[in-house]
Amino acid sequence: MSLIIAELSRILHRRATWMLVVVGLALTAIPSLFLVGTDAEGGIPADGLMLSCGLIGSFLCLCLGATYWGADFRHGTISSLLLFVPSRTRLWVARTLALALASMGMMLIVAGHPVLRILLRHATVMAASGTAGVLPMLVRVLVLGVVSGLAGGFLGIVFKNTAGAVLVPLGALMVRWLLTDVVVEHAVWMVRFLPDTYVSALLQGETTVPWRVDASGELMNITVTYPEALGGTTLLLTLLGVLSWALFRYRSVTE
Amino acid sequence: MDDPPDLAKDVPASAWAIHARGVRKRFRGGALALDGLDLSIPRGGVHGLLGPNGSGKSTTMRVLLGLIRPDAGEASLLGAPLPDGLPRVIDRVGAIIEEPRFFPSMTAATNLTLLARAIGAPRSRVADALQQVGLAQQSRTLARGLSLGMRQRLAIATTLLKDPDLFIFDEPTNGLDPAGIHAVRATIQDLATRGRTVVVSSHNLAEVQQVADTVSIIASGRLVWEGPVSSLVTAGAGGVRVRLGESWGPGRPLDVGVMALRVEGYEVAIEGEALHVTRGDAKVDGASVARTLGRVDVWPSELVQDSATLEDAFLALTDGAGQDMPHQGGAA
Repeated sequence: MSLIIAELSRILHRRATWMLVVVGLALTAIPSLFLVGTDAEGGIPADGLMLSCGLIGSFLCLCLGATYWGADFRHGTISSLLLFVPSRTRLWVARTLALALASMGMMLIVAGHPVLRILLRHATVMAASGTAGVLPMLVRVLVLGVVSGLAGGFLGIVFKNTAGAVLVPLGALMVRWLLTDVVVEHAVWMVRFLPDTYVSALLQGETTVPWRVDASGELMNITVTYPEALGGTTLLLTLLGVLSWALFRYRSVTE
Repeated sequence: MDDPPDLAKDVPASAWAIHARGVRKRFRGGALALDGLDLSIPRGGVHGLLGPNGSGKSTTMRVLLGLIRPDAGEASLLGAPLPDGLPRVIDRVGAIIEEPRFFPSMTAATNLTLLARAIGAPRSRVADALQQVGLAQQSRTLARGLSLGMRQRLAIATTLLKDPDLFIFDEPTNGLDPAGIHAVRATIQDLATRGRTVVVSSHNLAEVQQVADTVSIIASGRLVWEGPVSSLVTAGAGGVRVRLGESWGPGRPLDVGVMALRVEGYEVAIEGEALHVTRGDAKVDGASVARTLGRVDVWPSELVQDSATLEDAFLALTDGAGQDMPHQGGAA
């Protein structure tokens, strides 16, 4: 437990963490403060606000995880840490849990403020979801934050730097746009399993994606549900996590 | 000359601070860093780990500390087999490997505090460690603002967070000014006086000669010599160098002097205007040489006793020269 707290403290002491928080607030909470006054009914749709903030927050959590591990490898401080905590598995577990907690905190700050604004009556909710729908949305946003943070951290171990850990997921999210013609013509079914599909479903609860082209040439859509997206994401994250653990456990940190 | 005692003979591995047998490591790209390294470092005192650049000193330390996995061989640290036993003893080991690394945007105190928290050490130990290395005034200075010497001292401070029994220092005086080197030397000697074991890897052989009780010399990833420093430096230190200040020629002092010394049984090598006088492996008494020369009315202008240094022995062992140098362990 003390090691988890120590690692959480390490995250909080890092300048990059607070830079991400400032960027997050600058992109989400602060602009939305000015939107209140422009809405004739005295509020703004909280769930819509939470969705857009959640997307930004997930990217920031990805960066948080990437810098957390990437910086230690870049500065060489991982060696110093291993001289104090030589059990690499124990260290990996502690840092993963600390990163999950930190990502949750980051998401709360960046994307959770609409809940506070509902309480302060500065925001409304969409009629379809109602006030009760905001909390499940908040949970979804937090889950996405944790997934993003852990993905960034695991990739930080794999690449031993921050850039790779950030650019690879961004590239993965752009696969759909990069291969649109190819996908629609030959492999539209794979769209169901693309990372951006999962992100969209995790954020909104479900999402609709093209599934296949029928005999008449019409594009048929399919709904990817939250459990399906969560299951697929969990599987991918587990595989990535096992890979990162194995590399951290058995790879020389100074080679 | 007697061979130095075989330190490893009949002593169980658990009795050593560090014990290694047949350790091999080849890096990606094919570079063979360690080629069957054997090492036996006794508990207590200061032990020097010496070798030319690329000999495998740093790799050895990294293997011992679990930062690198060897390809073959076995090793133990304070009796615990590596790597599985390392977590049991790491609290009793403090180490500095090459250039100290810290988060540049955090203060000296914060860098130490984060490490202390990782092992549950009290915060007071951070202040004590900084005080001990003379960095109390720089505790709030960002790591990027510290000089290399200060970062080196901060690295030493990290080792003091754990109050270890074994210290492993890789080039601890690197980049330090004379005052800093003196301070580090004093720290090392103080730790040894308090019963700790200190292993120091350094290129500064004069420094190691001053502080180390025993040394291991590594070349090309193998052990070439291991034992007390005193045994190593007395080899080749028996002769006398004499300068007579006169040129050569029949009847000149040099001729007369050489003849007189040879008649007395000395071996005389002519080195320009000077003579190097030896008598096998025995130590030559400068006063006897002077009396011999005086009896034939030859008076030296300079007479210097040979003083072998660790550097002489080190160069002889690692360059393959110095056939008479005592050795144990693998061949040079």
